[in-house]
Amino acid sequence: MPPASKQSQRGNITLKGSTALVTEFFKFAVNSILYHRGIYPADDFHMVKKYGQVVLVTQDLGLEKYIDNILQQVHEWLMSGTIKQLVLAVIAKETRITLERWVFDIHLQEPPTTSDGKPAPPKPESEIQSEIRAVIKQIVASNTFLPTLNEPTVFNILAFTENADIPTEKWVDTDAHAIEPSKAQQVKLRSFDTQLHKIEAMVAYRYDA
Amino acid sequence: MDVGTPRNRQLFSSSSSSALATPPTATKRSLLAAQIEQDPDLSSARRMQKSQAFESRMAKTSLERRLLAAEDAKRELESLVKEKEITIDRLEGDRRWLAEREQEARDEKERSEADWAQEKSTLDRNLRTVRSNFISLQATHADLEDEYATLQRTTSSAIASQKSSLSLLERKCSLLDEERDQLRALAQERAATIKELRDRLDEAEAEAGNTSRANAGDENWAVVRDELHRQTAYVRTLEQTNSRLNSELATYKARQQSVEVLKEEKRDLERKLRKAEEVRDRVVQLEGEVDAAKKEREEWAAFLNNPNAEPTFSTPTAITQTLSKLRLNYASLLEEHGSVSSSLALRTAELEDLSSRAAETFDRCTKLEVQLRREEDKATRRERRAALAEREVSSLKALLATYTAEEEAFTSRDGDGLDYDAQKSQRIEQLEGTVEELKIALNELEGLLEKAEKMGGGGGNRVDEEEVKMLIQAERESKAALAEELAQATAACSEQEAKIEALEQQLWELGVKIGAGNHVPRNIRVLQLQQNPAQEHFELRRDELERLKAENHKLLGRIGELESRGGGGSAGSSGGSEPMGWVPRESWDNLNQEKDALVDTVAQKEKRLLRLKQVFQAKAVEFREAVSSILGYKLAFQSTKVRLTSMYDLTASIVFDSSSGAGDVGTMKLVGVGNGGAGGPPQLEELMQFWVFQRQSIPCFLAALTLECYERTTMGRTAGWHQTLSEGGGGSGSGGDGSNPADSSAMDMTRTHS
Repeated sequence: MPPASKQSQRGNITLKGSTALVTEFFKFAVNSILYHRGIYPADDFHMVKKYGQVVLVTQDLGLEKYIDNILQQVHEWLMSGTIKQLVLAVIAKETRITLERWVFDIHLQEPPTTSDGKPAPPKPESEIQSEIRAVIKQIVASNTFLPTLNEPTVFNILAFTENADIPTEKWVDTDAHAIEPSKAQQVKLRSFDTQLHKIEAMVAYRYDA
Repeated sequence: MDVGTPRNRQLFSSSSSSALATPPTATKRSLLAAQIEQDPDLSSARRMQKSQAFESRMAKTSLERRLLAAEDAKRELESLVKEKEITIDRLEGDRRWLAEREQEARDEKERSEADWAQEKSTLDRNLRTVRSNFISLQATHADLEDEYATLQRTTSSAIASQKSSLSLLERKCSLLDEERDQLRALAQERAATIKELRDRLDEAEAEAGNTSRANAGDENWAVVRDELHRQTAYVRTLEQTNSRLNSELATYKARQQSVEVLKEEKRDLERKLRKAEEVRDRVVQLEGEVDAAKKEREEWAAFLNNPNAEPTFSTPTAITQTLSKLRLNYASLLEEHGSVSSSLALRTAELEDLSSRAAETFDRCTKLEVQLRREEDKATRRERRAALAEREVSSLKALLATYTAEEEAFTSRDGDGLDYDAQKSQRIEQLEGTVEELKIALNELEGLLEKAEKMGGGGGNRVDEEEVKMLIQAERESKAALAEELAQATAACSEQEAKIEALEQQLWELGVKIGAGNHVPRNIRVLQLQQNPAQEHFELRRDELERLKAENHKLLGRIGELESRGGGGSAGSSGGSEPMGWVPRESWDNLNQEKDALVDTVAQKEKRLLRLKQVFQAKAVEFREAVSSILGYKLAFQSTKVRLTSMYDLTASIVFDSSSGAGDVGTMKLVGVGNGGAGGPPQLEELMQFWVFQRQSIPCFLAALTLECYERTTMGRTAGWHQTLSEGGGGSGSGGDGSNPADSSAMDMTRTHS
């Protein structure tokens, strides 16, 4: 019995670590998108060294708080394995049309509740970090092909959950902020996995030819 | 100032004259001296002053002297300068002359230079041509040299060759000469020998003659003659035989030819004969046939002649009989054939059977051979074993013998060897027992081996083969089945792959759909934080909108209230044409402000305009006054008319009307020509005639009129015109009304404005 409990503990620890990694990744990914897509003024961001590169993080207190709130809840959902997708929607202020959807699919590679199965040799964190770095670089590089946002925009973060405990005082149901199907284009970005979570990033955007 | 300046000059001159008047100073000096005596301080000062004056005078005189000296020097210098100038002039002249010379020289030089250059260029050209010529000549020279060299070479070679040939020829010549000499020598020798021989011949002939003549009757000669005769006879006979034989040969040859021909003929004939024999055989056959036929015919004829005749062998019945017999024979033969063929079939079957049996036997034979080999093997093994056993036995026997020998030896040596012997024999027995046991065991083992071989070989083989065959068959079948399955599986696989591809495509499309958010899985809840930026933004907007709506609503209510309170007519300020004409306070204020500003600007504008008007009026008055003072006419501008009134005769006014005529044509109307002028109208007529109609000049006419009026006024003044002047002013007013009698004399004139 002691080895089993140890294993489970270890599994819990890795789940925690994985969740922390994923949450952190979401934070920097969201910040990068907000900066590079010009949704918030560039002056509001300051540079931080992360994943062996420079990333920009907002200094806007309200925004910071908003992202922190979301990530806290996302952390919980990740731990319970009930979140399936995290979407950052960029919406035009005037027309309320969704212009971009940054989708992060979250796949559980192992159900976090069961501690059975042989524990594979743990993936080195440097490898995971390099994968995350690649994803963030791709997010930055997406500026090259995404249409320029000429109008003022606002963003929203949506969480796609399944059988999750929802603090109803904070979270409310909403629509999926879909892009018009005939005008939607999609680019799949890189993905990374922490043996427990596999995050697949992609960006869908509205493109009027 | 001009007046003032001479006076000043006078003043200056007087002062200067007073200053220059030095002579009366002597008298004054005494006085001064007295004063000096009176006042020692003053006197000392005076003395000093005096000494200073003296010094100054001395200085002045010295200076004057110097000046004079300087003037002298100056004069000298001037003279010198003049001299210098003269010399300079001369030099300049010289220089000019020299410059001219130089110019000329330069020109000449230039010319010469040009000539030289030309010459040089021509020379250069010449040089170039010469050089080119030279080069070409050099080239030709080189060519010629080359040619020369080649020619030299060829000539030298030719010479050498010729020399060599010459030497050769010389050698030849010498050789030939030698030869000739030799030949000559030889010829001489030959000639000598010939001569000698001739001599000898002659001698011999002579000798022969001598000898023949000498030995006529010699026997030798008779023998020889006989012999000769004989020989000749023989030869003759021989010749005869020869000729005879020749003739015979000819005949034989002819015969031979004929023989050949005959042989040929013979061969031909033989061939023919062979054919003929064939033909004869045939003929014989045919004759036989014919005979048979004849016999038959005869029989037939006999039969036909005597149908009742006994059917002989040759009758049709006989034939039928024979036929039936033959048929019977045939049937029997057929039967026989059938029986034979059946027996043949039987035999073949038997043969097959036998062959199969033979094969079987062969098989058996081979098996038996195999068995035999096995048996032989076995036998050899047994033999080997037997040999081994024999050897063992022999060795044992030998051992035994040795033992016995030893035993004997021991027994012979001493008596207590018995014990030893007994021990030995015991041991031997033991050993023999073990050998026996071993042999038994060996036999058992052999039996076991045989059994095993029997079990393993013989009948087991066939079973194995069959089994193997069965197995192989089964394997083959299973393989075929598996191949089929494999083909099916590959087909299914490719199908599945295509399906997978299609599904992947579909998956991608669906992924796009999901990515674009157009599809949300059923049990997925989409959530957002209640307080998100988008929400905040849109709420802000909504709040703003709602506030504005509320404001609008309130304002509308207020308007309604005001309307109901004040009625429809209260909207006076904006005209009241619209029911919603209530203006907010702010906009009213705004409008008020605007209005004030506008009023201000208008006032300013008006003031400016007024100023302008005043200035203009003043200027106009000034202008009119200037015109009237310069030209002698008062101008009065009306809307389209200009009225001119003479200064000297206020009744005489002319109106130019530009509106009455069409285009650029104006009308000049003489309104009134004074009142008192007796000679007025005729003069006016004249003037008009002269200036306007003839000279076409209105200004001159006006000037003339002015002159006329002036003369008249002065004339009038002298004749008491002054009094009537005021009357004329009144008259002019009446003339302006147009009811003046002078109006009748007014003339219409037209003139084109140039």
